[in-house]
Amino acid sequence: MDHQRAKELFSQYLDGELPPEQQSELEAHLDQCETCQAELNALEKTLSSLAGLAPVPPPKDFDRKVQQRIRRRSRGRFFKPDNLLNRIPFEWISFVIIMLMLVMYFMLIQSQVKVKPDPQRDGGVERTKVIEKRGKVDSPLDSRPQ
Amino acid sequence: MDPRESRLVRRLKQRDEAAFREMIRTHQTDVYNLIFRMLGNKEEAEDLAQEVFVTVFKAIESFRGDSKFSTWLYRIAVNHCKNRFKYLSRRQYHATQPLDDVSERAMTGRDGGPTVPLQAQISRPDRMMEGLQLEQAIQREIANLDEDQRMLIVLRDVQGLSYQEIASITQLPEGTVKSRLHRARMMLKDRLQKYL
Repeated sequence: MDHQRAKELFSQYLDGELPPEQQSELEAHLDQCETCQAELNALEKTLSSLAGLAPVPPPKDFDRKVQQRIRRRSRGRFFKPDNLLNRIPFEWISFVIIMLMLVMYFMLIQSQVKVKPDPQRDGGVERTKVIEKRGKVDSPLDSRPQ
Repeated sequence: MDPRESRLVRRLKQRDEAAFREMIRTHQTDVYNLIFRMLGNKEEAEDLAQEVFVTVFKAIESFRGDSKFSTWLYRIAVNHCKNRFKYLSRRQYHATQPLDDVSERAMTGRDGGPTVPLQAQISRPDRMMEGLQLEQAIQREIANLDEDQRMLIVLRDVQGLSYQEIASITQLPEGTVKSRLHRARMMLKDRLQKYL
């Protein structure tokens, strides 16, 4: 095996993809050839340096930026802003709204019980008459000049 | 495709936003790294990696499941890189990374904590500097390879993909991938010899 042929097989040899026969031939050549041995070592170091490059972390907010880009391009159809209401489960919101409505309902009932006039005690009928009379006097139609 | 991946793809086709977020989180480091190593510039890499995921969102319907999802994703990333190369070469852009940028990144990890890439096993400061210089030299020499060689080196020797996957991504015969990669490796070895 000559140098040129040996060099052509280096990648396959380091990838472990060389058929056994060719591997033996190459190894026999390497045992006798220091130049090829040095070249193979240099190639091996190069590959291990490439494999040793640490992964570069993407920016922390990378996924958020992708979503923003899609939102912008889709004119807001996808990935709507992540506001507070979106993050609270719908069931919780429904429960709170129902509870609030119940509280308001009971408060309303309570206030009506307290305010309800007693016609026997405070002359509610008389007051109604006075209001009716005032309404008649204040009506713009009645105050129109004859 | 395994069942988990096939379920994810089905959800993606239904425009399930949670599935899309999951997919970004799973693949963002690989896609970002592939592009960063190809272009050698963080800002360009970030912009282009975002564009890759936007394309996935738009084109997911066209994924037929003939290959692994990651292979399809890589193919999109590689095509975007090629288009960006053309665009940048028209604008006389040279894919080099400022040297202090690599050093800065090498000092900080994913969570801002310390990390040491190539020099992971080096405890002495002088050896660490050598490691940093080597990493800078590698990045510079990758950028000096031609577009196809750079792509093969990054896919195989940096990202560690199989020849079969690379052939599927680049749509080149496996034999062609191997012979071109061998030439690229030998070229890189010659150029890096003084640093090794």
